[in-house]
Amino acid sequence: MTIAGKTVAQFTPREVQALGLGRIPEDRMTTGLVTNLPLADSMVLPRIGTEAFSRNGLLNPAAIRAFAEAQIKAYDIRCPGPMVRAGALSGGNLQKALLARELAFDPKVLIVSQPTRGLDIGAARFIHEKFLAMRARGCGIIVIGEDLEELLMLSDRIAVMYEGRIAGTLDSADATVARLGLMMTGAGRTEEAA
Amino acid sequence: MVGAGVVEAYGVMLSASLGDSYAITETLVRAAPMIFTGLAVAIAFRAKFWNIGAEGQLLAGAVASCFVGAIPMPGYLAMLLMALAGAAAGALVALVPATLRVKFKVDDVVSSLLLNSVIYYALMALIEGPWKDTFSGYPISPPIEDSANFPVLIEGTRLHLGVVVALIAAPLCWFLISRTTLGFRIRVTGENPEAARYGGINVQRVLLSTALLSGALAGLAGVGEVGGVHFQVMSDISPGYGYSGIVVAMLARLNPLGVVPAAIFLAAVMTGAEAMSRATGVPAFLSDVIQGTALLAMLVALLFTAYRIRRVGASA
Amino acid sequence: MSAVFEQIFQVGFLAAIIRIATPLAFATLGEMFSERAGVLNLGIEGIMLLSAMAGFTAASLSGSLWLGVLVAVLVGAAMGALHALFTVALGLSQHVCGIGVTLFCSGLAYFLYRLIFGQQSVPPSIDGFKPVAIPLLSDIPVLGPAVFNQFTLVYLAIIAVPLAAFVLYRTPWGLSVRMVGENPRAADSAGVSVIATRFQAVILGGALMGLAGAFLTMAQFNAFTFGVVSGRGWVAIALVVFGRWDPWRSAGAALLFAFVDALQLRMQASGLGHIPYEAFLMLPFIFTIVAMAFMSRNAVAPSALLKPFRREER
Repeated sequence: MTIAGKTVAQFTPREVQALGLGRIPEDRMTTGLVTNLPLADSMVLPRIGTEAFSRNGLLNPAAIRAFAEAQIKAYDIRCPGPMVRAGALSGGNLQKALLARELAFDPKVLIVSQPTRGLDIGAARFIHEKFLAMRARGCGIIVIGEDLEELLMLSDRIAVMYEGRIAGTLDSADATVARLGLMMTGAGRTEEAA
Repeated sequence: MVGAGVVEAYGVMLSASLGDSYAITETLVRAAPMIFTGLAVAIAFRAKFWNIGAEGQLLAGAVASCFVGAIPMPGYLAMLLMALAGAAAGALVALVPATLRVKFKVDDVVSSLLLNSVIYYALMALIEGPWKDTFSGYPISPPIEDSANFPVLIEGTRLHLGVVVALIAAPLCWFLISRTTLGFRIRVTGENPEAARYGGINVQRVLLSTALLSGALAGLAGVGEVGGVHFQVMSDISPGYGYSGIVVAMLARLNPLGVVPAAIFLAAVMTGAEAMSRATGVPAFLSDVIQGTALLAMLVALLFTAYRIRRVGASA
Repeated sequence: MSAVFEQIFQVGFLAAIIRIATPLAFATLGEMFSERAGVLNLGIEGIMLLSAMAGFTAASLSGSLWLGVLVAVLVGAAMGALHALFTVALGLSQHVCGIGVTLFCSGLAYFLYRLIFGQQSVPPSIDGFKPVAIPLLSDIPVLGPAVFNQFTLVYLAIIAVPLAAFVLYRTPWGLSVRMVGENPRAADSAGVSVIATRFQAVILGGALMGLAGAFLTMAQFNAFTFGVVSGRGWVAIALVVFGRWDPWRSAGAALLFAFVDALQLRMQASGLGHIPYEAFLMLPFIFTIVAMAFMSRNAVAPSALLKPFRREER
């Protein structure tokens, strides 16, 4: 995979970030957030070393707090404030917080895994709207998931993975749940060949 | 020891540790090394670098600073170089278990504990062998230069400059943990290394930096004992200050600011127990029992506060 | 070269290895049972010390060595139960609780020892265990006098290794121990009480650490000194890793360490007098650290080690 002409496979998370890749992990609680620390800490984690939040190795607590507060407002994250333990938030609000943290810095490419799993309809719709808005601004979004309805609704193109390989790629206009389902069983390749 | 005897004994303990201004200075002198080792442990445990080796790092710091302090040079230069040498020695020792963990997946608890024995025997070999004080013939190192002795702050007491440095070190460590990017990375790495790595933090480098910092602080504990209290190195230069540092850090709930009162509390228990031992014959090892009990009691207390928070959180 | 060889395979040297390995084997097996059930017991150093002191005191006051051993084992088991109370029942940090147990036990050992015996210029000693020759077996050349003319506790250690392996691998209880250490959730749903099994394993471990302590003060040194354990507990923790949590390998690791220790004792005694003996005392510890560096990469600890079990957490 390449971003702006550079292959990303062999980079560290930090270097990938610098290239403009945003990522939202599948497992919010273990990979995404630090549940025992304030929410604000998790929200600035990937960018803590940047000018926005620190200078010469010293943190800028006011900027961190202001950033977290702004995002809480913009994304309607329901919580008592930026200093609350991240682990105290509900799943939907955590997902919004992670989304806010990645989108705040205009990624060129965003990779999301199971973006709305376990969320209520309101939060899911909110996140879908954000994706569409990002797409309108020219951000490439890769959604990894199993919820076919969601993928059909969001995607321009859908690639089906089978046994670790891409079994086939469809424009979403051509894609139906039935066709995707067939490809997911590994039948996709023969169909394509035919 | 029954009834009135107990009250009397505790009376002796209290007055000897906090009863008058001299007693207070003695307690502070005792607290200084435990402030340093307490800070060393608190910072290490924040990153979940299980540094149980503060004892060995302290000894290494003592040896290094004693070497430097024995070289004739202007007093304040000597003190500065002693501190630097001691901190560097402690940091190097702490780097061993951290490197072994990062490179070879060796459990840091076990390696840092074993290293304590290695450093202790190395120190003993030095003062029994090439470094033995030829003047006294005892297994102690030659003394440092008089000019390198840390200045006493209050005439007639042992309150030395190192105690003040220890008291300043605590807020500095607090600042480091809560207001710097390194501190941020230490906290995040300790709480959730996976999220830290995902968020672009070089977890291995954070662990190594933490080890250097932690070891340097423990090394400074040894510097203070050489420069301000004993002026040389002997086998019992530390009565387990490195292990007490673990108790101090836990009592302080790993908060550097809490380390100061926690260390003073343990120091008061120690000086008090010694006085009580002299007055009533109860062995001074009572303070070791109290230390162990305090640590276990603190853990249980933490558990119950955690439960309360969880329950309050659940009902909210 | 052949001179060195002769030196090594002297009867006295082999006997020394066996003697040094015995307390380590007990302690290592004890720590292994605890860790196989998922509980790291850093209290080992203090538990050994307190048991050593308690056993010595009981033997010295009653005149019965076996009563001393019994007391040491009971004290070890009780301290194991204390560690289990904190780490298994309350689910507290195994690292910190272990250090707490060690500090508590060491403090208590020193304190009670001083309280009972006072401060004496020559530490009181007892008439410890005497070697018991096993008929016929002790007549085997070299091996006989080295292995089969030893303290009864040594024979106990030699029996303890296969016994531990049998218990761990061939009994239902051993299966439970391994299950709660690998996958407590599965053990729980299979009807095994995780809490009870862990308690039992840690208590058994403590009892074995007590035996190790008893050996030190009643067979090896016949006195209690403050340095009587001097890091053997920490070494045992390393040996468990080195022995990959297996009774046979752990015993092998104890023998290997004992070999290095006996070798350094020989070096102390032989013509290297101008080097302080402490320089040799470091060697086994350095050896252990280096060995850990080689072994740890492939060492696979029980999956649930360090993880407290709470049923409601899903």
